[in-house]
Amino acid sequence: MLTLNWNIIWIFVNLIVLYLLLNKFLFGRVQDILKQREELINSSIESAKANEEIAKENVVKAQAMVDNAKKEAEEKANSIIEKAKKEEKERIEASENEARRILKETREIAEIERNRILAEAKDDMVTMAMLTARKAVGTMDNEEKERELFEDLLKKVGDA
Amino acid sequence: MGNLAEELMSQLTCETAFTIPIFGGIGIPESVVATWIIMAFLVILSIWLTSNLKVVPTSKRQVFVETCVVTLQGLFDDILGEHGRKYIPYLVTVLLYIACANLIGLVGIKPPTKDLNITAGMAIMSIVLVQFAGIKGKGTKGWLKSFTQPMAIITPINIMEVIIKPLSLCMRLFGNVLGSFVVMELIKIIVPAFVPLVFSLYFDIFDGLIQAYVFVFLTALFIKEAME
Repeated sequence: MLTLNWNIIWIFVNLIVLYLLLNKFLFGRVQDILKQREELINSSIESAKANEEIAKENVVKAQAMVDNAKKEAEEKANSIIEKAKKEEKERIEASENEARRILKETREIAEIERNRILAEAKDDMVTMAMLTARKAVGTMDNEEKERELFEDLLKKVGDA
Repeated sequence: MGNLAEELMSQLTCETAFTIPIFGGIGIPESVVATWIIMAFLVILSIWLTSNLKVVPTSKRQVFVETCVVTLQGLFDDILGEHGRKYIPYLVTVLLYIACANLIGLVGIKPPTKDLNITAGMAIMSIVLVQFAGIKGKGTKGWLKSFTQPMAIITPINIMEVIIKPLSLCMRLFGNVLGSFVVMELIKIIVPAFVPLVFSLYFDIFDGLIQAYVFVFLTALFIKEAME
């Protein structure tokens, strides 16, 4: 029972052999697989981070595109509105010009007509005066000369 | 009573199981055969448990073995720290061996820890490891200097500790196994049925595992102390 002898060497050998075997078949294998798993997890995290970065960049790009598109749309809308305003203004101006032209033409026509009527009235008055004078005097030597005289008279009257 | 003493003595004597017929016959004690059985059991179990390990575990067997190894290593991780991590596999090996050795009585084989040669051998190995860790941790000069710490006058006590530490490790384990064995035998004589079963749970299983843990826990503490 309480005897120490050379058999103590057996436990040295046995424990060292057991340690080497367990180190190889138990701890080594488990540590190995845990290390591999750690590497896998780390690489997954890294790739996830990289993907996140790419996603962030894409979001920024997309935002920039959206902003750009908004700006372009605004510019386009503004240019269309401006163009429309310009066209409207041009149309209004053209209409005003047309109206002015028509008014002017109408005035001119009216003026011509008035002048014509005036000339006719003058002519009629001269004829009437001539006829009246002839009736009073009773003769008519030179019709041309008479007319000139009356017209001259009328003019003087008119001027007065 | 005389019978009991004889019975106990025969149970406690470590007989030679067989003799290898070389160099005039090398006697192999029972405890060594039991150790070989435990070694075979542990190695075969390890090979079976760790076969076909996958990076992403799919089998419960792998989860079980990983949990076991990580938990066992975790027992010593806090004590030993980063520098002492390399000693953990040895400590876990000893833990598993002592646990199996203390429990092997349940299947009818005489526990090898009842042989003083086994416990003494393990204690000597532990203290060699402790001193090795001390030399490696502090350098030979620092290791020699540590005998004069904290003051020169206690150097003899420090040197005695080199013997006392393994002796206490060895005797604690041996004494516990021996004591629980004797107590169990006495209980079996007084009440042969049922009661021994309940006590066996404590003396054979709980105490056996506790002693295994205490042995390696103290070794880990000694290593830590030697490294600092």
